[in-house]
Amino acid sequence: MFLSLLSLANTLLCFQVLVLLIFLIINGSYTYVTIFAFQHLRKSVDAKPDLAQLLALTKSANMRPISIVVPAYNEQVTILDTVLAATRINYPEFEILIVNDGSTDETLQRLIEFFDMVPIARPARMLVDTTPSRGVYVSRRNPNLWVIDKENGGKADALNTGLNFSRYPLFCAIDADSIIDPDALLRMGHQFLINRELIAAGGSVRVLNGCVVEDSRVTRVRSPRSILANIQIAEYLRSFMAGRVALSEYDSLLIISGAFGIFRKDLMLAIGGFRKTVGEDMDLVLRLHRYCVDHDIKYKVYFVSEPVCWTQVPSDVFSLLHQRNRWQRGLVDSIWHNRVMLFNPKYGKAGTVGMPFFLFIELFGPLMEFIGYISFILFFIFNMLNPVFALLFFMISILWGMWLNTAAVTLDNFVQHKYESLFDSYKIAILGSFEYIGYRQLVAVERLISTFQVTRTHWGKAERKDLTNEDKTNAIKPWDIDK
Amino acid sequence: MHTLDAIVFPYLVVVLLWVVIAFFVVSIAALFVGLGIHKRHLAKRESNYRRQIEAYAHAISQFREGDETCLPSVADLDAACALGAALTETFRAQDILPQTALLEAIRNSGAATLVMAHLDAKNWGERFRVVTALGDLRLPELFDKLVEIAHSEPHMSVFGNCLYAAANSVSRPDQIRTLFDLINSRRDISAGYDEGMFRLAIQALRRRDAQLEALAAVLRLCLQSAEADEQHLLALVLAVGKEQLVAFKNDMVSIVRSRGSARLTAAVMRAAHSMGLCDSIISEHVGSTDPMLNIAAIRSAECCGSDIVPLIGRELRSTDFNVRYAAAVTLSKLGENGRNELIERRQDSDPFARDMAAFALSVG
Repeated sequence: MFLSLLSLANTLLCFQVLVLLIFLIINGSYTYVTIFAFQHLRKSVDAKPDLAQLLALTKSANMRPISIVVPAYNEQVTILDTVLAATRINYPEFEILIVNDGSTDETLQRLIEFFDMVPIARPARMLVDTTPSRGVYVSRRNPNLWVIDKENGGKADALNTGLNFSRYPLFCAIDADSIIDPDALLRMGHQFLINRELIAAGGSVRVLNGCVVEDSRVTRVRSPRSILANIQIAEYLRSFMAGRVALSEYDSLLIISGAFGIFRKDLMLAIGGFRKTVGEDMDLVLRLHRYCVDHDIKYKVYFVSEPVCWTQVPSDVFSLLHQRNRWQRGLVDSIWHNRVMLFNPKYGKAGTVGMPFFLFIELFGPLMEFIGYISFILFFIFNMLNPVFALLFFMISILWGMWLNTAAVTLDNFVQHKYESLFDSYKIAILGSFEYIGYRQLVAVERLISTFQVTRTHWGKAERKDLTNEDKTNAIKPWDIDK
Repeated sequence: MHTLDAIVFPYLVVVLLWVVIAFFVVSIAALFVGLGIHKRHLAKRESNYRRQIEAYAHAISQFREGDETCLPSVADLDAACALGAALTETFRAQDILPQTALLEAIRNSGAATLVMAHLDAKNWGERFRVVTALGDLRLPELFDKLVEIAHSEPHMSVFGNCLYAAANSVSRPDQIRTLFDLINSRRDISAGYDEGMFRLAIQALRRRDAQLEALAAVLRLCLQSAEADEQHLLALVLAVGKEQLVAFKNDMVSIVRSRGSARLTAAVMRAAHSMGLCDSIISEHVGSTDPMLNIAAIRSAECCGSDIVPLIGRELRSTDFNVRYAAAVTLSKLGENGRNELIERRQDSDPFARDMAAFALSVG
């Protein structure tokens, strides 16, 4: 009896040490990544390419034309702003393909009316299998603006339809609730111009909530009032300004946000386009890595910290959990589908650094966190918790998280200083720390549940809010700008 | 009985945890303070820099020959960069060159020497800034220095910046050849900037009223260069077209014909289109089996008048959607004759041609 109790005590002690170690590894990784990103970004602080200079050098036939594909399913609230912003992009040659994925609302009608679209017989090469198209429309005022109406098949299917219809060698995917900065594509396209090995590039995605949008442009960058949105801003800053910069510099960038990314079309076709999964963005990048390594193609996947695409984040808990559920399912599915890369030195740092990072920190992170919370409660119930130690440990975890948030906000200010007022930066850093009181636990539980729902391929639908709250009836149309 | 370690260890752990907490509290406070200081410092630095630029811009606008002293002194790198930025703000908008006396004053200010002292900076961002300043100073003698920097610069963005600055400093037609050789010698890195660079160089020569005859000779040499990368030749052709060097068209066509490259031929057609000129090379390639050549010819046919309308009309029946689309768009731009052709094609036996004609007419 005594011996078995002793062994239980030892097991619990080992478990405590394990939880502590995992806590240290996860937070330590984030800290390392933040410091690494700072080390890299500070080198480029003085390099501020003048837009006129960039245009003079790049507005040429050398800039590879881009097909911008916007998959839309029931996006009547936001679609006009997204497309209006896309039509104002500063880029030598591009086409915009909006793929209406069998919307049941007025998405298609709004597009047809607003952009003065007419049906046209535009055939597509069926290079990737998709659900059938019902019709193609072209704007009479802007011949580079197209709508492809198709039967519902999901986001990946809509993107594949765009891939079949696209004419240009670069493929850019943007979400239908996002606003792209006018110069973002130019700065991204520039990377493809100067780096012949680049096969995919991701741009910085920022939170639109709280910002002032006028005439489909973000005119003032401010932090929102809601704590939930501020927490997500801190998360985005950590993820983009620290995580992706560091992973990109370390040649192990495995994800390019579905909200804004550019890919080489020939390689996308070579791997069969997007796979029908809820994490199609990560899966695509992983398969591109695999394809290039397997075929001895010299390649680079890059994150460009400056270009900006603004996107709405969920403003209610239900939508947030829905989104995180989907992200986690996508992560699990992508890693499982591409498991051959894991710890495989053949795939370089993507296999030996990137994959383990995503597996242990991002995928198993919620599981470990959940076990930590449960054990905390159990130890407390069975009176096995040293209250002083527990309290101090809890304080450390909150402070460490706060440090990470503040460091990410500082990093952002150091490089881009998008937020005009210092108050907004402080607000994000402080409110972002509330993540550790309820938010993180809730998300961890949802992600844990979703890990076991990986077979669900349902995309779900988040509540959309109007990006501008403006009546579009009298909005300046793209073809009127030049007048 | 408690052993010493059993008594001390828990206290040590607690102390250690408090130390960690203190570390985080202090470092968070430091980050907060640092953030505030950085933001203030940045605002102050930017306002100072702006003030310096305005002071230099004012001095430049007041500058009179023989009064070189009115230009404020250049004390450090920031001041040299501000002087460069002021020169750019003043002269880029007006698209003119600084007068010789002003250039002399800039030369005497020692700004270039000050800037060049930072050329070997470790951070590429700083090198980028230094090269920008060198280009902004607009001193023609810096051309060779910029080319020299470009030859050894490892970072692509800084290399591009060198090309930009060097192209803006071109003062003699033969320097275009130097630029051409530079990008040919660095094929690994020079992808993409060539067309912009040639255009900037031609614009710089125009500002300096260079003799176009001399320029034509240099361009001919570049185009005939056997070892040149086709990509750079293509860029040169397109730049010549966009910069409207009309006198050079026939030469360009004959050189390109002799090289027999499809991409170069397409580029020449696009260049002719940019100049608003027609050439037999365009009508020869309408209906080409190579869709790239065919589309380039159809798109360039806008300047060829009514004779080419039937040829383009025939392309509405092409099996390639992009060819049909290009033909429809071009016909809609070819005035009354183009419109009549589209009306006629609305009754075509080919359903694709009918559809495309109807679309082009609906666009008007």
